[in-house]
Amino acid sequence: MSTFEPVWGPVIAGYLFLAGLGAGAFLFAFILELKFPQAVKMRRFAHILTPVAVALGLVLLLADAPGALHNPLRILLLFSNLQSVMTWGVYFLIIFFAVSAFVMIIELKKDYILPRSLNIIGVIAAFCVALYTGVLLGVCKTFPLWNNALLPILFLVSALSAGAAALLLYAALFAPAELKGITGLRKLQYLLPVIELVLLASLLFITFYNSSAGAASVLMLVTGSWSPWFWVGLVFCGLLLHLIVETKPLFFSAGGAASHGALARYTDVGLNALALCGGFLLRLLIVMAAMPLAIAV
Amino acid sequence: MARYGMLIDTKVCIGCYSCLLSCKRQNGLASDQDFIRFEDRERGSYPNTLRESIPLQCMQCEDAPCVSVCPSGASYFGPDGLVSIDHGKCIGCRYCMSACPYQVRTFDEEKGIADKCRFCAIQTLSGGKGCSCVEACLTNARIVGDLDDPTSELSRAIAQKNALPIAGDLTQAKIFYVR
Repeated sequence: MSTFEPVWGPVIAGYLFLAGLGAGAFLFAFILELKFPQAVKMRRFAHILTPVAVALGLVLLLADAPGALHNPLRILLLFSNLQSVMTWGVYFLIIFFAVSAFVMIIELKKDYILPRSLNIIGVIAAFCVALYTGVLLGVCKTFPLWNNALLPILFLVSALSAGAAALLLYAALFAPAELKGITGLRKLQYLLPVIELVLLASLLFITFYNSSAGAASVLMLVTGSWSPWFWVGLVFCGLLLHLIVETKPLFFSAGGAASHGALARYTDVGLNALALCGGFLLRLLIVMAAMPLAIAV
Repeated sequence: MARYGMLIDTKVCIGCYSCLLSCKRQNGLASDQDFIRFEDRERGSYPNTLRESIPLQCMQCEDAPCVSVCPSGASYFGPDGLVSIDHGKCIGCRYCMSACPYQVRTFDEEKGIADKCRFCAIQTLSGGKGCSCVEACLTNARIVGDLDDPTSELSRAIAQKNALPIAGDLTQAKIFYVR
């Protein structure tokens, strides 16, 4: 079993991350529009980032499918098998990309008026895209680490987390003035790594007791060859650090997240960049550490 | 319509890999591509141990995960319910390789597509000659035939030897193992 070569690798993990990032950014743009209409630059960035991230993801997806890359006409076949989660994904991605590209064009025009109905369709498509990336892996019975109902939820929360991180990273770098009025958004963002930690821990505990392959997958993450990436990269830098740094300013200081000094700004840049890396690492680790069920027992 | 299946008797399999090599030759496979893979292991506890060689290949599942996950319809149920791949439709996404619990699908790096056992052994049933795993087996560990015909050599052997799919009813596999 130790000789097992993962079927997919970093390219697919990158695609899963970018699709999630696009979905998360679009959903946070919706929240900004509803609750923080003054954060115009952040919303604009989110609406531009979404189709770009999705398009980059699709390029990665195609790059990893040589049959389609060499014979592009075969892409037309991708709408046929409605039993396949990948086919649903193609539909979701096309709708989401079309809507978000249209929204980007509206955003780039001088007077920004986004029809609510279009926005709602985009939000629904964003949820579908983020969830589908988890279901895509989840239907493979071969891998206990994937074959469970927690994974789509984990990927959805991680997608939201990546979207929020991208927006705050942008704001900290290029629109620091907008950071002042969005403490509510930061509190919402703070919740995401908490939920992710709970989901991740549940996923690992349940997978560990699922089967020997499940146990092997979990051990590969927590003590095996991926453990430095798991503990330092994902758990500490990607999730815990955010909670360690943000708890006090968000919940236990008088003025809320009132400090706007250079230090606070650099902290924002660092934390959110790490959160983005964590989002990619989560996908990479889930893709790489999945061990197949033992067939002949 | 026939419902083709196979029996593999691991009690007489000596693990010589003749089936694997004849398959490579029959299907003109590259050196890094095998349609048959072996799980060799020891079973039991001392002093009652035995060494077991289990050849695994496409199980011709009736509930085939590869067919349900394939986004382009390249994996499909062909004539007589045989799980087949239309090479001209495969986009090389490898979803079928992830979905196959038996890990018996391989990737053709040259063409960029997925591939697997084509069940060419059934040609012997109609008197054809080839170099299939069934014909190559030195110890006659393999029998191919029609599962729907109760008088076929295959059906009788399955009943007699109490052969079972390797992973129970996981995917309604049509390759039966004696272990």
